[in-house]
Parts: sequence; structure tokens; C-alpha cells
Amino acid sequence: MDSTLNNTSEEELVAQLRAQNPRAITLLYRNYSAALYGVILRIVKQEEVAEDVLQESFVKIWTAFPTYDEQKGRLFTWMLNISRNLAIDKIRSKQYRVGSKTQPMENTVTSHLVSADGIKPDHIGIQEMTGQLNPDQKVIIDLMYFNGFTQSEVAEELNIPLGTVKTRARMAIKFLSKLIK
Amino acid sequence: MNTQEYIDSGVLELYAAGGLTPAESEEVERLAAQHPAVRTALEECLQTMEAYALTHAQAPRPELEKQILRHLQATAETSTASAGKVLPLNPAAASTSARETSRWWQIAAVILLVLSAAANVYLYSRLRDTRHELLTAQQTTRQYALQVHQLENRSLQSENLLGVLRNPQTLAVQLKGVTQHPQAQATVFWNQETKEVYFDPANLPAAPSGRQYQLWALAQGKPIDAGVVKATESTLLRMKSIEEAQAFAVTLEPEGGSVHPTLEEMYVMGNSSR
Repeated sequence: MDSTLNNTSEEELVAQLRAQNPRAITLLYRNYSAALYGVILRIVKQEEVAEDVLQESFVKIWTAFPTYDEQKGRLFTWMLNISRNLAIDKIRSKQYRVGSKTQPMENTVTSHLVSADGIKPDHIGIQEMTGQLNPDQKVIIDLMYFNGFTQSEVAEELNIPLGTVKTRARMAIKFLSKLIK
Repeated sequence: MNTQEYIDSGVLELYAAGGLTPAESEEVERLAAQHPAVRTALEECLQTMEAYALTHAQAPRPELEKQILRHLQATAETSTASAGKVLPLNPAAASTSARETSRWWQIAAVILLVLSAAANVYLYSRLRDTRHELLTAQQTTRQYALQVHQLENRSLQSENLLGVLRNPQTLAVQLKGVTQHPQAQATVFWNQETKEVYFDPANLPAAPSGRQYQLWALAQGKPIDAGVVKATESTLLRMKSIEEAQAFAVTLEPEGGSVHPTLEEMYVMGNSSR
């Protein structure tokens, strides 16, 4: 995996952010902008909007940092959630709402990555492997992660029992977990 | 709790993928804090989702870096400036103490807010009770005032009547039941000087609906209308003044009274000659 995202650097970064070291902002951006932007773009689907949301995300990460609690989870997860929530709020605002729920599953992920700059080879490797993920399982993870659906909304959208949503979510993440090890 | 069962349920995966409601998420966090096994399993799910997120990584336009960093710098400066503080030489220590001070202010503000809210609730409920009590008291007062007024009226009437009755000029005429109505009885009080007539219908049976008793004075053998007997609670009724009468009689007449008495319906009669 990306060496800039390992635990040591995250710890250092947290310490610098806490000390309000100005260099920390630049470090934060360089380390995480691609990861956050990719997720945001996957959610809002328009580059212009994604850039706005990315800026909003960094502002929020910066201003809300005093509330970040290391005991509760990793910095990256916390930042991903901030970006995801802002992006999902965006697509739920009026101009995005129409049609977004009916066809949420366009498979544009690969094409994004092929055209993207600065993608590290091992990402493509994982990307190719996630292609092996059972589509029935993948759709559940994606609806929740990229569309902000709750488990019951997923069950309703796909017309399957709640128990099946849980089982498939578990199998999907088990499968992905094996891939990254 | 069976932690393995909980881990196997898939709820941790839902948490990591963001498919739980805030309340459900809090429950997961709570259990993860309590059970190390849950925490470890959750950790793995989160790392997997991080990795999954990374597979979508895509660098934004390089120009965006300058723009966003400038914006962040501006945000940081604005928040410092709006706090109205001079940047201290030792920013870490000063900001810590500032943060602590502001935290104490926050705590104090929250406590004050809670106290004030509680006081508001308490005072509002007291206000409502008091308003209710005031309303009840006002109604009672109005009722008492009405009763006092009625009593005053009645007492005034009684005094007047007593004055009439005690007047030596007043003649009390007992009217006795005629053959058809032996139980009936009434009294006429007639002031010889002022000619005022009062009537006490005490022992007359209640008049049937649509009909009224009427008092007559008999002078020189002719009946003179002395007024109809209104149904009231008063014991004494003021009737028409009568100049001359040898006798008084009461008949039952259609409502409003008649010009001539219906002699067949006579109830009581009494002589007023001295």
C-alpha cells in the first residue's frame, strides 16, 4: 500500500496538526487529496463539483480537527467520512436528486483510473482484483459507501431481505480484506 | 453477549461501509469500546474499506493544490483574527491554554443554559398554575358579588315591605278558599293612605301553564282589576293601587289577565271592610 498512508506517518501528521504546524496543511493535502478526491468524484460524478467538495472537505478537516479522537479511529477513516458525507449531502441537494437513486451503479470506476494521473501501480492491481468481487455483493457496498444508503434503504432498493444485505456486506468485505493482505 | 455471533452478523461491515444510522453506529462504537474482539474485527473492516476507497484514488488537477492551500491558510487566519488574538511566540502552549479557557467558558455556558432552561420550564409551569388560580378566584369573586347584589336587593325589598306592613295604615285582608278550593289561602296588604296594594300568594296552588291568577277589588259590587299575579319567588307582590274596595278576590284567568273576572274560576276571597 501507499507508504504515505501508513500508521507512522498518520501519527506524525496528527501530532503536527495538533501543534498547528503550518506545514501540516500541505502535508495533509499531498498525502490525502488523491484518495479523497477519488471517492468524492465517484459520488458526485462531476469534476467541477468534486473540486468544490474537496475544498470544503479540507476546510472542514482543518476546522473540525480539534474534535478528532484518535481513540475512536484512524485519521484517514475520519477524513474519508467527512468527504463522503459532504459529497453525499451534495448529491442529495435538489439539483442532484433527480435520477441519482434509480441508476446509481454505473461502472465508471475503471475508466476514471485509467485516465487518472499519479495512480500507483498497486492500486490498479487492487482495482483489477475488486473486479472479481461478486457484483451482487459489490452493489451493496457501493450503495452504502458511495450513495449514502442505509442498510434498510439498500434492502428496499434491491428488494432483498435485510439479513441478505448484512450477509453480502460481510462476504464482500471479507473478500476485499483477503485481497489487501 | 456472544461477541463472535455479533461479529459474524455483518453489522461491523455495515458500519464500515456507512450503512448504519447514527444510532446504530453509536451502538457499534460502544460495543467495540467494551469488547476487544469486536474492536479488532471492526478495525479490520475499516482498514479494508480504506483500501477499497483507495482503489478509487485519483489525483485532482495540480492547480487545485495552490487554490485549496491558499483557501485553508485564509480560513486559518480568519479564525485566528476573528478570535481577536495576537499570535503568541509560543503558539502551542498559548493555544492550549486558550483552548482550555474557552472550554471552561463553553462548559459554564452550557451549565447556565441548562439551568436557565430548567428555570424557564419551572417558572412557566408556575405561571400557568397561577393563571389558573387567578381565573378561578376571579370567577368566585364575581359569583360572590352577584350573590351580595341579590341579597342587597332582597333585603331592600324586605325592608320596604316591612315598612308597608308595619305601617298602621296598612290593612291585612285574609282571602279564604271558596267551596271548590278550601285549601287555598292568600293575603292582601292594602295601605289606606297611599292606596298601595301588596299581595302574598303563599297558599295558592301553582297556576297551570298558560294561565295566571288575577287579583280583583270589589267596590260597590263591581270588580276592579288589581293586576295579574306574576310567578316570582318574592313573597309579596306589588299590585295596582286601589282607591276603594269592600272585598278582594282572586280568579284564574288566561295569561295576561282578563277585563272581567271569570267567576267560576274564583279561588279565594276576603272582606276588607273594617
